[in-house]
Amino acid sequence: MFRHILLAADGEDHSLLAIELCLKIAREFGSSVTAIHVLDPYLKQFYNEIYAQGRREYLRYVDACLVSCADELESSLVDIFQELPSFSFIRAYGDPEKEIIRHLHSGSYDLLITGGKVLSGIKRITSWNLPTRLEMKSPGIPVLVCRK
Amino acid sequence: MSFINSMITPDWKKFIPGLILCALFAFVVMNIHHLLATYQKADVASVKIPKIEQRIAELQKQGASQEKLVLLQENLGKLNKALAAVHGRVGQRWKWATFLYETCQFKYVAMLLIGGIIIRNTIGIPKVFLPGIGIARPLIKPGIIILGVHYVWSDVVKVGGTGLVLTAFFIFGTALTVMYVAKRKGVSDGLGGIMGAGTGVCGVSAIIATAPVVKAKPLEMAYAIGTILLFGTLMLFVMPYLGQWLHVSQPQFGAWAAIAILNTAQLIAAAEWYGDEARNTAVLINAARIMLIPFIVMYTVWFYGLKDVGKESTGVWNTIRNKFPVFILGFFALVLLNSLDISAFGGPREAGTPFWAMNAVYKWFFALGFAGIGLSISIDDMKKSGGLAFLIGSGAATAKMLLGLIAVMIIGTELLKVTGGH
Repeated sequence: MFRHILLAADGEDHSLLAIELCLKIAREFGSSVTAIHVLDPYLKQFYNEIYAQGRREYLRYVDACLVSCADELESSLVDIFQELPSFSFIRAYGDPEKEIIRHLHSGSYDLLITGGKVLSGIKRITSWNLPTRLEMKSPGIPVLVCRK
Repeated sequence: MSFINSMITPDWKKFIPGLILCALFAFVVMNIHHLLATYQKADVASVKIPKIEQRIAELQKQGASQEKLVLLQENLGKLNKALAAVHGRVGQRWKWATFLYETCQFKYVAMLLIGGIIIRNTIGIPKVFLPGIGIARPLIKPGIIILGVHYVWSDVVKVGGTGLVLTAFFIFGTALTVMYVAKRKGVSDGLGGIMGAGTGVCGVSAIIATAPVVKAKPLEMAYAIGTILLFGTLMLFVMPYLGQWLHVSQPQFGAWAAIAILNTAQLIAAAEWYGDEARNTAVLINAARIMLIPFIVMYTVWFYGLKDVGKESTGVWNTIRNKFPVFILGFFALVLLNSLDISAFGGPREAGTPFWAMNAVYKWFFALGFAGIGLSISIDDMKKSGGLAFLIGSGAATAKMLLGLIAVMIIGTELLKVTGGH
């Protein structure tokens, strides 16, 4: 049923749940999995804050953090998904929402799996909620959000 | 030529569209501000002119001193000029201008910030403008340097000295409390360190200086920056109205803003909005505050025992060299020149002199900077505030606001007032 799954992972706690579920589904249906990790340069925009000092050091540090997070995630996902016949890892750079949707459009995916926080009350409205936005903008591909 | 080329950023062209947008926005708003101010002055003049004319007639009957009469006639002349500027006549009213300008404090700062926030978060800003908008914010710096002509050394010693003691107390008090509580509650060193520095010194600027040293994680940084921006923006809009309601004097408000508003951009904006005297005090105390950035970084390194990390970031000399805001020396150079009272430079109120010309342009730097600030305040960024950073930030912000208010009320206006000398 699901031949090709796109797994969006950022290494946070809630995405670990998505990884577990993705593995179960892929085993069940013999699906191939592509994991996407978006290196979000969001924090870099603050380097020119009025009195910011040590700007170059800050930019280098943010870049190093993003790359190290991607490296760690890639090596752990390669370990986890090694039993599957087909697994690949993509690093994208930019706004996570746009990059994930762009990949959904470009690939032949049947399902998107991602993690998310459990939201309650006012947080449902005020939270910067990537999974909800992915659900809204998905090009007809089902989105499975594992909330924790 | 190669030296000049080395000073120009290779991708400078990407900043042009955003800078043009900010300049246009600032130009339109400054003209609206000027228009409002002109009509508000005319409205006041329209009411005052008959009263002053009556007073002059009474004094002439009583045979009052010539000095008194000249003073009143000068004042009458100014009021007539204000009325003539709108081709108005005595008795004609422009209550809307007084309501917007005086009651609502709808001045250029408010228009740029509120207008910018509305534009950014409704119709949005195309990507091509974003780099230039980001670079417009630090244009407040040349404005601050120019403001050096408003001070003399006695101001620096009196207000700056008081401010330095006050800010040092609040900065290290906040940093110590936040870092201690964070450590006791098991918060990571990264988050505790950036929140201690961010809530203590000058918000996002301090987070940028401290994050590489304490090895804060990207998510912690996003939470901390979101929280600082949220509370900085809240205070920017709440404090000026709260200050008016509590009848806080302008110098007291300047000091209060310099202590309580977490982010520097918002601090300058709030003080400028409140009035010239508030701005003068806030800029001077803020100069004292930002000079403490290297010391807060060193304090963080010491507090978390980070002796072995990031050799380029640690060490007394390296930290001071890398984290000291060098531009503030320009501000103090102008304070020194103004203190020497060299007649060739004149003063900010002496028309036609170099210092007067500099004073005339500072508002344009501020306007460009505030346009950049308004257009870059994104509600999405503030929505990223959360987790423990939000708890720490809200606690520190509230405590600093209340304790800061008590402190400036105890100190009083006189010790916080900038005279400007000659």
